[in-house]
Amino acid sequence: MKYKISVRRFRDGVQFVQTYIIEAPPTTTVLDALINIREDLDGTVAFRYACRMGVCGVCAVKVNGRPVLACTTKLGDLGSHEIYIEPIQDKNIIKDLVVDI
Amino acid sequence: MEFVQWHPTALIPSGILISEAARAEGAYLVNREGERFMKRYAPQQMELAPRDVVSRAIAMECKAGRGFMWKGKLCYVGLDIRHLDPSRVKERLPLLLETVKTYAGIDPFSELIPVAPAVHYFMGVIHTDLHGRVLDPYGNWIKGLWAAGEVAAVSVHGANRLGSNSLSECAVWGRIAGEAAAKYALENRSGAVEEYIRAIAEEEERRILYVLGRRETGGIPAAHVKSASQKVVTKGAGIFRNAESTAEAIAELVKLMNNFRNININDTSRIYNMELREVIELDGMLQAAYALLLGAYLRTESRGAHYRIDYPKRDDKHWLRHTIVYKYGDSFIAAYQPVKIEGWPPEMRQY
Repeated sequence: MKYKISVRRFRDGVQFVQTYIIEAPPTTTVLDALINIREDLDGTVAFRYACRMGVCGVCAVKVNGRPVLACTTKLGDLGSHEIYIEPIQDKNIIKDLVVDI
Repeated sequence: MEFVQWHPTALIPSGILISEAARAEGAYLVNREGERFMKRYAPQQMELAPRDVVSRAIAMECKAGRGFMWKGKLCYVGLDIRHLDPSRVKERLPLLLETVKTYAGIDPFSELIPVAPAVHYFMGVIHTDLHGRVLDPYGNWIKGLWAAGEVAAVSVHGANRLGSNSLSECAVWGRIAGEAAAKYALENRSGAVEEYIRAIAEEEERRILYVLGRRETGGIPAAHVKSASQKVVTKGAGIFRNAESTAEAIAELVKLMNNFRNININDTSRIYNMELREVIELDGMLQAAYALLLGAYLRTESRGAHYRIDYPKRDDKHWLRHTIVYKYGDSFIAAYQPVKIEGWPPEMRQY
């Protein structure tokens, strides 16, 4: 399945949206999609993750406007092939999706 | 380093652990023929045999062609909880139900849970004494340095850790090392460090900034070297090892270490640089992998988690000793120290 993933980025005081097209099965989690982007397309995009299994909460981001854990949210469950990922609200952004927690 | 514990039941394909608690509650392990294969390997303990025994049993079933295949490339077996009382499972294993539903998309009350062994814990790693102090190859404390938890080799686990002992290890040595480090810091308030330690730290800083400043285009992505090294080590020193497989893996790993020098880094920022961190981790990973393979190649016996097909017996006469791998310049050197046995000499393992 083809997904258009837009990431709201922030670095050196500049904010912008960057879009990546990835090919992935609908069972792929948002976290795995981000890891794939890092490994194959763009090593500069930053985010946090640790346990990868919905326990620690570190990978919290907003996906299509809703706060979720990236590691427990699957692309196929989002009801759209266009996915917008941004940092969680009300926290200072350190870089890209990484906020001061 | 050669003692690597495989956890027998990691979920396919994500690798997330399915706790031993499932088998403790009575779950079965079955092969493709629906047979509880543990009866062939540990007829008394069955699914509750130690992790190395169960992991080897699963690998043997896969070798014999009695496993299931995931996408034709990953062999696994089934963890069966269908005969257990659902209300008890919901009460005792809620995380299992959630994990299996989210990451394998199956209902464990009507289907088998797909599981395979996955690397879980390193019994070895940083050489420390009983106080958690990090030792050099000659047994001298590297002043001001402690290690505790999985990264430390205090040698409480021997060649094969028992489940949950890593938690007590963290609690006990976390406290011992933490208190000792705090005391040391209070007694050395001047902040003065020995000249040679300062030199090592400065050299390390230069090395990292060099990586950051390279700004090259092309080169090899770190992720490729990482996944290649994972394959090499799994093949060379996985659940089953032999002289040939480990020797080949060492040769392959040396190539990857050379490739590592050509790794490209795109992110040159100094704030939360994930890429830089990954590259530094990969550097450590490759060196740890070398120490692991070297130890596994030289240890011509089978003990705990280290299983050599060409030397399937434990050999206390020659091998009741620790492998200490250290670097001298760019070379890795393996030295040995006798194991101090106080009270409980190792017995024959029978299942």
